[in-house]
Amino acid sequence: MGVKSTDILRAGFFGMIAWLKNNRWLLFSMIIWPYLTAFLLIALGMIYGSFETYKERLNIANPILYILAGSGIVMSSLFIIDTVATNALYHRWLGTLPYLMLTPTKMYKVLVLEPLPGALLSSTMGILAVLPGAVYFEGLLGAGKLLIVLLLVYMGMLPLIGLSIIVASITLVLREESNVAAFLTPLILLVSSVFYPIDVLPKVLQYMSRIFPTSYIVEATRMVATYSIPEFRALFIVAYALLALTLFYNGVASIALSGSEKMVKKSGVI
Amino acid sequence: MTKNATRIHAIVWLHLLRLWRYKFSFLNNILTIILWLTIFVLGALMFIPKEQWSLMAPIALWGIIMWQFLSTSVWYIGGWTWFFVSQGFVEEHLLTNTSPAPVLVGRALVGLTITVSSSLLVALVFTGLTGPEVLLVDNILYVALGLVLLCTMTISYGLYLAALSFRIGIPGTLLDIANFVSFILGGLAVPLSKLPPQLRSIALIIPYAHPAEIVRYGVRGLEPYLGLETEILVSTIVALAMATIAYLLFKYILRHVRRYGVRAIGRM
Repeated sequence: MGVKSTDILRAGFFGMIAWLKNNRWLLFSMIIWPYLTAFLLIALGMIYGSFETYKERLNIANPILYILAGSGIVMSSLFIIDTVATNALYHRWLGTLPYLMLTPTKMYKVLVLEPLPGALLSSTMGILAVLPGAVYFEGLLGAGKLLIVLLLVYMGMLPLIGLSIIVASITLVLREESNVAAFLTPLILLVSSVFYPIDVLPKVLQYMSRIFPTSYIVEATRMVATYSIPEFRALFIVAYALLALTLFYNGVASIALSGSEKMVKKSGVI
Repeated sequence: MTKNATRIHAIVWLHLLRLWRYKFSFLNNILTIILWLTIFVLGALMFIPKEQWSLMAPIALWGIIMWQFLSTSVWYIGGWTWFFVSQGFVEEHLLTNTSPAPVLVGRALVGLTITVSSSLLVALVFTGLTGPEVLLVDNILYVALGLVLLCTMTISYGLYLAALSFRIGIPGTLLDIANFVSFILGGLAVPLSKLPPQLRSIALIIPYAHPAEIVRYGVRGLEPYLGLETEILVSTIVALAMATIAYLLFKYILRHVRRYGVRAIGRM
């Protein structure tokens, strides 16, 4: 008999709130971060070139709103993968991982459920942080578009969690000091072509982008930023693709985590 | 061997051994840096008509290389305290009457290895995008001088963060924000003369802008905003001042830590 799933989720939620309460700078940086990313890109672009060229190359109606939403997606994806994938590593650093393994609750249940509220909260913050910017540039329509993006991020979160668990399993088995698969986050974002058209990437990376959920979120965001009213049929196709990826990644993740749990129990966790 | 030579030997050995032991982390760090930079570089290139890419590429490439000096110092010296503190190493060092400061300074070796390796890969990405001319340099001596001065400043900054994180919790994301802001406002990405006047006056008071001007002079002969001699003088004085402050700050913080303990929080 182990702890109930709802109790683990509740503990994870309170843990996250306590962490944010004790570290208000972190809360501040979560809000300011997407704006800074957008600022960096726009400032660099404006100093080196012009906005008109960007608008033309990406074929979008509102480049500022698009870059802001893109930064929100970048931050949300980063928060989700980081929160879930580094949770096991963090417990190992603190020396609490062996205790978690000794409790009657299955280790994978704790490692999957505990970071979930944090991932949900931080990804929501990543998108909602750009809401004032969206309202400023496009009024209520901008806010509506951003909420569609948020919905897509939630849908994209399900396969991303599966992917993060696979990453966590690899890290546990390899016994390295940091998350050895951290490069996957920027790789996923690179092939998702958040800030540039996908055709600038080599063909191999263009094909690779099809297996990562963020590509579909970015594609939908581009639709939202291109048209004043986005085409809903196309958005549904994105939703189906995300559903398929959810089933695939979470299936692989459950096998990977059980396997790594067995290996880690055999060889030790420190 | 003298006592100091033994110490240096031990620290270098420790960090090289760790680098080898955690080789996957090392490779992961290099890949992570390259991929993040490529995302932003590709984004920024979309603002420039393709025929002008080769003109802006050397400035962007060296801007990125200089920014990596800053970023690796922040994360591999300042940010590493997260691991150092979580593992209880500060107390362990103090109990054996050893200062943790030289151990943290030794992390510069790891940072430099990562900077050099990832810079080579970034240069490869740029060569692929704009051609091999991007790698040409006018005067290697000025590039080297600028980088040494920049390196002294960034290592000192990394040490400030490491020392302060023994007393206060600095969220990692805040360090990232400071890094990003320094890329533009610190005059690393863009020559000072190209910045709008308001931003330029801010950049002039950020130390990194001055060695960056020397590096750009060495790369493409771009005349530094304050003149070459002035920039060399200012950069040398600032680099020495920053290194001295780092030494004094560590001394003060360690005295405080011995009396009151480490206050750093686990998650930073």
